[in-house]
Amino acid sequence: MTLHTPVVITDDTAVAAAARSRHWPVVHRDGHSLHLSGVAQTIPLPEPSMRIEMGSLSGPHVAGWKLVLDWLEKYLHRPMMVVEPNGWAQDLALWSTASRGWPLAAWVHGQHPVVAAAGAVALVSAAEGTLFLDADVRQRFTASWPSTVRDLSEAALVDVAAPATPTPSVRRHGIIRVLLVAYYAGDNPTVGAQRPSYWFDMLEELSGGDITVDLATAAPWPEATGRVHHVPDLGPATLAPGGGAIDSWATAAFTHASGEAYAPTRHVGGYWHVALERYFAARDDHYDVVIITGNPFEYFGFAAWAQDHWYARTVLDYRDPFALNPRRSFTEKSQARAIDWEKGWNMAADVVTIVHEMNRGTVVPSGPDARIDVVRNGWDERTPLPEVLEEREPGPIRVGHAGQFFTMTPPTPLLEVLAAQGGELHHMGRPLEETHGANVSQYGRLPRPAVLERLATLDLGVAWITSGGAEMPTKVFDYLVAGLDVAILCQGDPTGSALHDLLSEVDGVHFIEDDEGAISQFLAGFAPSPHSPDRAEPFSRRASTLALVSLVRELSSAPPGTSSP
Amino acid sequence: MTSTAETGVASVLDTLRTRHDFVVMAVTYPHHWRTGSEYVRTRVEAYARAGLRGVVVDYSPLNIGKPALLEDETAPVAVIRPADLTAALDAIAESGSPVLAHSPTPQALDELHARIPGRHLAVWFHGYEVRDYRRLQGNTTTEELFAIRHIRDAQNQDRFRAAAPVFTDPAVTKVFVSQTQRRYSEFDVGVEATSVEVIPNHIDTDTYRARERRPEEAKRILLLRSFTQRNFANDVALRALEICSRRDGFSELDIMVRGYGGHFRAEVSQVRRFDNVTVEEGFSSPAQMAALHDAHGVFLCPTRYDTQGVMLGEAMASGMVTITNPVAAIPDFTDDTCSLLPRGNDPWAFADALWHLVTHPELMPELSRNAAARARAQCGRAATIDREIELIGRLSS
Repeated sequence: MTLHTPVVITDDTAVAAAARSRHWPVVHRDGHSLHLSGVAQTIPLPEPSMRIEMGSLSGPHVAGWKLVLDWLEKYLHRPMMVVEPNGWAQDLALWSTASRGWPLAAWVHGQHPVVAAAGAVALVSAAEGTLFLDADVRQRFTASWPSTVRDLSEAALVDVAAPATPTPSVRRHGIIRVLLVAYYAGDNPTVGAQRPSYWFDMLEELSGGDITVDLATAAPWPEATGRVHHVPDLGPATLAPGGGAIDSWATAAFTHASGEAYAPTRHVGGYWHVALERYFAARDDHYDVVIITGNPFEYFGFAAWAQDHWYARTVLDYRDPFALNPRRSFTEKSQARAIDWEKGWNMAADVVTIVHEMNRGTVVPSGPDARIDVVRNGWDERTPLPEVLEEREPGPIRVGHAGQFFTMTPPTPLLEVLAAQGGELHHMGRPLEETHGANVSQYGRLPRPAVLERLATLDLGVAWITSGGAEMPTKVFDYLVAGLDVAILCQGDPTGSALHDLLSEVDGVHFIEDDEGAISQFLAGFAPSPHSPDRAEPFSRRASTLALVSLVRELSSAPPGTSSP
Repeated sequence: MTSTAETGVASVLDTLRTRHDFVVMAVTYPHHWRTGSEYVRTRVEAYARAGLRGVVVDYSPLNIGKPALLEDETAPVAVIRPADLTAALDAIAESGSPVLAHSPTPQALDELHARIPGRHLAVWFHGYEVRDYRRLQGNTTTEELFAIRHIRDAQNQDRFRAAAPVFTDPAVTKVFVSQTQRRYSEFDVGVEATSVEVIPNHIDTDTYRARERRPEEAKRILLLRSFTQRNFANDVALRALEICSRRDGFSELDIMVRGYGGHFRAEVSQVRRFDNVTVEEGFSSPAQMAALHDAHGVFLCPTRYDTQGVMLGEAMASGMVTITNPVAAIPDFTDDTCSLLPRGNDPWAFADALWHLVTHPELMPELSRNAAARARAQCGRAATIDREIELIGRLSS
C-alpha cells in the first residue's frame, strides 16, 4: 500500500470546494504567486502556463518550475497532482510523473467535454483517475472520450498500487513471441480498441499455442488478464525525464516540430514511441514479431527500434489509412509532410497490413518491393448475440447508427428525411451536435454488448461511404449480427467500393444514393424484417485473425535447417 | 604519390581547358594524408593503365587553400574549393572533355547539369547520394534523430530535387552499381532514370586471387568489416558467434574479427572472452585483406543494406565461402550456389547458416569455385573497367 496525497491545482471555486470536501489540499494562483492551502509559504508562478514544448524546461523558468514541485514535496506526503486537461498545470503534472515518478490525476468540470488534444489525452490516459463534479459532465465526457475513464478515489489519501508488470518475455524454441502495440486497447468501446484487443485475446488460442502475445498499451486496462504492459504516455514530458533542464536534442526537437506543417508530436501518441523504447530498454524481453496497430499512428516509429533491439520482424497495421485518408482534413503542405512521415515509418515494416484490398492505394509505399497484406476487420463472434426480434414493435422507422460521424459524410440528408417522415435515429457514439429537427436518441459510447442489444430493437442500420469507397466501417457487421437491414448511403456509384465488394450479395443490404430524394424513396417503401445473424459469419474476426496467425508464422520462421535457442 | 606542382586558379583552369580523355569530378579524393573515395582512385589508375590521359578535380569542402594542381602517378589532381567549381566546370566544358562525376553533392549536380553538355557527362550514383536516409534508420538513435531530423529531411529534399532533372535528362548518362540500387534510387527520387548504365564497382581479381577452399577450411572463419555504421550488421554476426559458442565443437573453430570504427569496441566485447576468437582493431589495406582472405575459408558478411557489397565480392573473388544476407542489392551479386544466405537481421538464422557449413564442410569446394567464378564474371575487369572505358569513349564523341 502506497498512499499519496491528491493536491488539486485549480482556480475554480467549485473544484476547490470538492477537493476540500475530500480533505485534499488545493493550489491556486493569486496573481504571480502560488498558494497551497494550509501553508503560509507561497512561491512565485514562473510563467502563466507551463508548456514544455514552448521552452518551459529549456529557458529561464526551469528553476521556477522545479521549485514548484520541490514546494509540493516539502509540504505534502507523496503528492499526486490533480490537474485540468489542457490547463496551465497539465505539463507540470506530466513532468512530475516523468521526472519524479509521482502519480497524477485529472479533474473535469464545466459545460463542455475537454477537447481531445494530444496532451490532454496523455494526461487522462496516464491518470490514476478523474474527478468529476457532476454526473452530467461525467456522462458527456465519457461518451466522447476514446479511452476508458476511471473515477478518482475520494479517499483523503489515495492508495496507488505499483503497476503490475509482466515477467521478462524470454526467447523460447518453438514458440513465437509477439508484442502487440496499441495505444487504445482493452475494455474500450471504440472500434479501434476492438481489433488489437481481439488479437491479444485470441492469437494464442487460434494458433494452437505456438504464438504467445504481450500487449503494450497507453490506455488503462485495470481488468486485463494476461501479459499487458501499461506504458503511460506522458506527452512532451517524455523527453524530460530529468529533474532540470531538458537535453539539447529535446529542445531541438520541440523547436523544429513547431515549424512543421505536420509533426507527429502534435498528435496523440506522438511521443509514445519514446516511452515504449525506454520502458522496454529497461527490461530483458525478447519478441520475434512486433505488431504495431493504429490509429493513432504517431508512434509507428517504434518499429525501427523493435527491429534493432530484438531483431524482430515488424508489422504496421493500418486499421484506417493515414496520410492518404480522404476523411482526414490535411492542408496540402501538412499532407505532404504526413506522407513523408508515413513513408519513413513503413520503411521499418516487414509487412504493412490493411483492412481491405481497396485500402491498398491509401498506403504510402516505402519502396519498390514493399509488401502490403490484408487482415480484415470483422465482428467479434465471442460477443453474445442479441435475440433477433421476429416481430418488431409497430411505429415509425427506427434507424440505428453505431460509431462516429465524419465531416465528409454528414448525416444531414438522412436527418432531414427522418424529420420529414417522422422516423427516429438511435445513435450510439460521440454525441451528434446538429439533429436538423429529427427525433434523435443519443446513448453515448456504449459497451459492445449493449450496442448489439440496442440495435436488435431497431429496424435498420445505417453507414456511409464516400465516392472513393475505401471505407470499411465495422459497424455494418454489428448491424448484420443484430439481424437488421443495412442501408449504405453512398456518395456516388458504390460499384467497386470496399463494402459493395463485400456485401452486395448479402441479403438485406441496400446501397442507396446519399441524397434526400433517394433516401426518402427508399424509406417510404421499406418494410423491416428480421434476418439471421448467420449473415455475419463469414465476416467474423476469427476468420481474419487466422490470416494474421499465418502471417506471424511466416514472418517468424527461419529458412529450412534448424531454429535453435 | 602526389606532389604539389602549380598553384593558383589560373593555372588550374588552364589545365582544365585542355582536352583530356577524361575528367573525374570527386567531392573527395585520396591524396597526401587524405583518405576516402579509394574506389574512385582505383578507377583512375585503371584508366591511366589503359592509356587514357585524364585529370581529377577534387572539390571537397575541406579544400580551403588556393587551388592547386597535384602531380600524381596516374593523373594530376586539381584541388579546388567548392566556390571555384563554377569556373572549373566552365573551363572543362570549353575543353569538350568527357566528365565522370562520382557522388556529386546536390549543388555540384546542379552546376554539372547546367554547365556540362549532357552528351559529355556521366554521373555515378554509388548509393547514399540518392537514398532516403531512413532506409538505414538503425544508424541513428531516436535522440539523435530528434535533434537532426530537420537536417536529414532537408538533405533528402535537396538531393532528390537535384537528382530528378538529371535522372530524366536523356543526354546525361547515369551509372548505378546495381539494378536494385537503380530501382530504389528511382523510387526515392520519384522519377525513372533514362540513359542508364548499371556497372558494378570493379573487384580486383589480381589482388584477390581465387583459391579453391578445402573442406577443412570451414573452421577458419573471418569477419573483416567496417564498424562505422550499424547497417554493416556486424552485431548480427557477432551475436551469431555467441549463439554458436554454446554448441559442441565451437572451440575447434579458428575465428578472426578485424575492423575499425565507432561501434567496434562495443560490438566485439562479448566475443573477446573466447579463446578461439582473435580480435584486432585496425584498418586493412587491400594487400592485408587479401592475405587475411587467403588464411581463412569462411567470410562472414552480414549486412542490413548494401548497394553492391564490395567486400563480399572481394571475398568471393578470393574463393572464400561467404555467409551474407539476401537484402537490398546482395541478391544481384550472389545466390545460394555461391553463398549461404540466412535471412537478414536474424542472428539465430546466421548462426544456423554458419553451423550448417561447419557441420557440412564438403560444401566448401563447390561454393568456393562458384563464388570466385561469379565475382570474376560479374565484377571483373571486363564487366566493369572495360565497360567504363567504353563509356568514356562514347562520351568523347
